[in-house]
Amino acid sequence: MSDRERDEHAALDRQQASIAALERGELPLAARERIDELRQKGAAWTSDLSVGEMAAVRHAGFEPVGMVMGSGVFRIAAQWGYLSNYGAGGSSGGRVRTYPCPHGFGYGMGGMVGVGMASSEHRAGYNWEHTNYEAGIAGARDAALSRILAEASDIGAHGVVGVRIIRRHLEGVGSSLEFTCIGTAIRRAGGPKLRTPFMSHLDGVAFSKLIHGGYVPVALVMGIGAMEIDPGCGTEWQLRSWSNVRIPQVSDGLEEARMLGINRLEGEIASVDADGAVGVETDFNAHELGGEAMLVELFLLGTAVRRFAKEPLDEPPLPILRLR
Amino acid sequence: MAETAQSPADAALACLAGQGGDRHKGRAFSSDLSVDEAVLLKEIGYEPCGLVVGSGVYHIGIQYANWSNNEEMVALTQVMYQARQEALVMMERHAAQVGGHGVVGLRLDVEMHSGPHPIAEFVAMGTAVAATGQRPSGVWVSDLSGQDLYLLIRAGYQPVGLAFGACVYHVAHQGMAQVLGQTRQNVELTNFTEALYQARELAMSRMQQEAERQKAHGIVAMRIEQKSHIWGTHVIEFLAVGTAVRLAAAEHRRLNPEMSVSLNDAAQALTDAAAPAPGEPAES
Repeated sequence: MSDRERDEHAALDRQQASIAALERGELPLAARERIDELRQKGAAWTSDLSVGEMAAVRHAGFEPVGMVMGSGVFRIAAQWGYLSNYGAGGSSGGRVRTYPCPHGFGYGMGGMVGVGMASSEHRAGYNWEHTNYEAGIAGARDAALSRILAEASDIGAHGVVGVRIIRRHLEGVGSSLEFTCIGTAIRRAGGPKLRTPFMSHLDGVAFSKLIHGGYVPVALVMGIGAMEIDPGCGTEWQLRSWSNVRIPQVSDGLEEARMLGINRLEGEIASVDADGAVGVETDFNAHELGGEAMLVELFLLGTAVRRFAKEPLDEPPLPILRLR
Repeated sequence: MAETAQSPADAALACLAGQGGDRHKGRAFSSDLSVDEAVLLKEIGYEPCGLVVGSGVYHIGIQYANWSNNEEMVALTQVMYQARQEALVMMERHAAQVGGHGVVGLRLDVEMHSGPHPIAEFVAMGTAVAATGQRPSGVWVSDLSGQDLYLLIRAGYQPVGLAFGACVYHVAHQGMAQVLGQTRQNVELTNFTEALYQARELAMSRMQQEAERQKAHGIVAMRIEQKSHIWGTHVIEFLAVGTAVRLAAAEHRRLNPEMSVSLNDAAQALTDAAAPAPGEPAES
């Protein structure tokens, strides 16, 4: 075997060992090695805190330990139209709302009114939830978060601040999704060991204000709602109308996606035993799906906080008139 | 900072480890408040109680205007006003459901989708807050930030609600002879000037009437948005919107701001300006 072949074999083995580690729920080799290096005595810490953030984090009584990261790429299972799900005996357990044809024709395939078959002129409309899509995003998120938390606990951190989230579709909506989070792990010398380090997407300065305001970050929380809107003939008539009218089916679909997102976010806040979430970022998207159908998606992300002091701890803020 | 045994960091970690802490009572809240806002609102006795939203999707039909007339597009004005109003009412209902007494940081957006069937989505979204002290009657709504609200309330005012007025206006096209006659001159397009005046004044006076109906003493942080949405250059919507306030204290309280000169000078030049903001997806 030539040197080159040996190197290639070694690289391949390493790759397979990494994949095997991921499948066992451990960190890939490259991450493992970096974390081990950070744990060594006298190792230099790394951080992406700015000078101001660094000062603020120290002011709050914490010190940086190292940069930590977690990432996961997931394929999102296909989810065909509501009717095909319905025919196959169920709609994947999501929210469904039906808008019958206002003329009493066609209720879709499995309907009760089914006098005549549904035609392009007369058909029911459906709003239905893309449960696979939502679960796929939650899965990628869970993988990324568990990995960043594993790195943080391994280097003895109490928490991670300034977590940046990268969420992108690698091959178009509804196929594969990358979820990555990167932040700076911090620790309080002599503090109690936490079962799970806390996480916050707020920067170091905000973290310090939060602590002095009597709140402590707990975890990153997320809420997602994804609804497909397949307009029925009634809705299409309204879309073609000459007057200015409210369109109930589309309004309902968007409202439902938003409420699903907010309710799930609040559910996650409760599940980590937090009191609330701050700095929630909202990302609302509508994707055209061909025909008249569309997929609307609300993604919410925030830092869950617990209140540990009822009154703010510092002096009240001083109004300042900036002269420049 | 003296790091005694009772330092905030230790209290915070003890709370995370499940030992004590003066925990919030009631349901978990979500809020899009920044930390500064959350902390300042706490100072004036408000705690967030949830992200609230109201929305509606409308089909915006066509209204024909007389090509050579300056005139209000009454049907369009009506739908642009009504739809926002309905989104607001829906949001207020949601706020009351989560136990809010007010809504801060309201965003009142309209997103138009052109295409074969032009539709418009009207969204009202903000964070509901509850007063920890005495409870005001009804839910007030404000598009002010937490910082602004803090200053406002410390100065002795109370937000009453959002005041807004809309006006969709058609600006006349000029006749061909007129256009040709003016090609070599700089002239004021008086029809445009007049139409913009008219429309802006209509929107503003409607906003003012709304504030008066709510028995407000004034409107703060008012702004005028001027948009053509999907209607081309000659149909313009004016939206005048602000927060109606009432003087709750006996008189205006002076805040006596401390004057400060920043010693930071363009320190940002040293950092990487292209770095993505926190939470924003970084593109490789």
